[in-house]
Amino acid sequence: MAATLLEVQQVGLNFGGVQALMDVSFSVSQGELFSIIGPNGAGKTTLFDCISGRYTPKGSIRINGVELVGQKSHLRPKLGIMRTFQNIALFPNETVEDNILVGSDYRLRSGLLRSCLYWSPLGCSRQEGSHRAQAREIMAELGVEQFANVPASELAYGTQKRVELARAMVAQPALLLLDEPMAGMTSGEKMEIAALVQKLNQERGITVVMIEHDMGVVMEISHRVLVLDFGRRIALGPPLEVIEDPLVRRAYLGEAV
Amino acid sequence: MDYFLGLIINGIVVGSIYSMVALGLVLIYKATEVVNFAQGELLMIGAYICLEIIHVTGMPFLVSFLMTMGFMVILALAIERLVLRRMMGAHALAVIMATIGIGIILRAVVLGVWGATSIPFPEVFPRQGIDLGVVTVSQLYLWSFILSLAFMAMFGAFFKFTRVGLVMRATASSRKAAESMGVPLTKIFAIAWIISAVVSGVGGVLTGNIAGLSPELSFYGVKVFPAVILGGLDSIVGATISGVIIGVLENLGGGYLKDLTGLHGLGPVAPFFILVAILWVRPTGLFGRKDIEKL
Repeated sequence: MAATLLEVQQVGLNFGGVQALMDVSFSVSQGELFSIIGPNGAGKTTLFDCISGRYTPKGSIRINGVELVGQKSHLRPKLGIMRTFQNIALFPNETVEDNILVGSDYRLRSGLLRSCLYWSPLGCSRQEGSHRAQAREIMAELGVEQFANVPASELAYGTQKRVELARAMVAQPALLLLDEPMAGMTSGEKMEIAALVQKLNQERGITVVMIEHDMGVVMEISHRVLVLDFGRRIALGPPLEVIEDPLVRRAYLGEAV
Repeated sequence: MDYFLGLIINGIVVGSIYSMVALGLVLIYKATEVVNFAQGELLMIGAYICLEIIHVTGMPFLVSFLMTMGFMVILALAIERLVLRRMMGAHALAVIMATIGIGIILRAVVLGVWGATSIPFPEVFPRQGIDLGVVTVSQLYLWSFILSLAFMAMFGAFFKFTRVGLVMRATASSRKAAESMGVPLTKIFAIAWIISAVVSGVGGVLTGNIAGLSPELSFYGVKVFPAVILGGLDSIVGATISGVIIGVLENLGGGYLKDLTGLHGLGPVAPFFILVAILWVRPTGLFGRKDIEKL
């Protein structure tokens, strides 16, 4: 078994009286492709928001042993965590390349003044060039390089999803959090994205945690699956085991899938 | 005809200063989603500080001007650190009230230190006219116009061509995405405040040169609102163009409405009439986006 990358321990969160997450614990190993499933409102995205710092839950979330709870959101990329959003959150007026360049930014940042000087058009450095090269490479890998100079809002939905994935990739994350990367796609597009996610996982060794509703895809590409229902973990294991679990069946049958 | 042209040119000059201050207001709004009600006071304090530096140190105007900009940077950082950063996540209305409070404090400082009477600014740019062929323009006006344009062009280039500019644009369009990309929001907010305070300070110095110094300068904050609303609260280009429109309208109004109606002081009111009329037709302003909240 590979080393543990992400460790979630007894995470709980309530919004007012609503218990969004209750005592959720699991860990993800280095190099794993890990899926989170569950009916709508089960707390999947909330869990992502806890990992990526939008919410501060009870309990502990560690990456490579470093505690994340209580740390600022914008420090996540430095710790190797990048994410995509359920409803695409690209910068609509910026070009695809610029969208991706924002993601490669955090490594440049050391002191406000220095970064301002550094980024001045005159001081455009080797690093700026290498960032652009890197962005090009990622765009090519995800098949969006022909849209480099197109504003993100002008792209088709499926392409926007790819761009968002590219943007998350450029920071060379250790852990990629994908929130429904295939939602709203045709089955052909889904297959392509699934293949892409698998490729990133296998060839680049990126650990992936993915929320996805398409059970076919989840069953096919995941190493392990976590099932949430009403904020609780109801099952965790290899896909085939999980799908046979009576609790899972009840959660899904009750939900009329 | 000369009277008309004179009013137009006057309007364009004053309007270019409005544009610059409006840019500051829009910038803070875009980056932090807060309307800064202390914008006029920032302008006012910039003018007084510049005057004080000239009086105390006796340095040439250019040096004092640069030192004033330095002061505005420090003031903006102080406001951001001491007040706004502590209010992160607070209700927008609470933050707006805080900016009103900052404005009141700044005005009290000016009244306390310099008093309420109007002080003339030492002559920096000669008021003699330059013949531009069609019309003669005071050098002071010409320089004010050139300086405002230069500052706006500089910040325009900054937003368009630098990485910080890109990150600021990105943050304005989606904070949560920017944050997930590793953008520290507090730094972006601080930069927005700095730029906004600097352009306001410059506007204050230019206005002070033209009209002299008095606490009344803080009224510019209110005067800039029609420009910002007219342009669309979230549009930098809109604010820039509208600033000039408002300046021209104000001057034409001041020039002609008095003769027409026999009432004084209608000039500054004229833009508000136009503003209301435009908002009937286009509630998001001339350049504002229709759907500011997209998701």
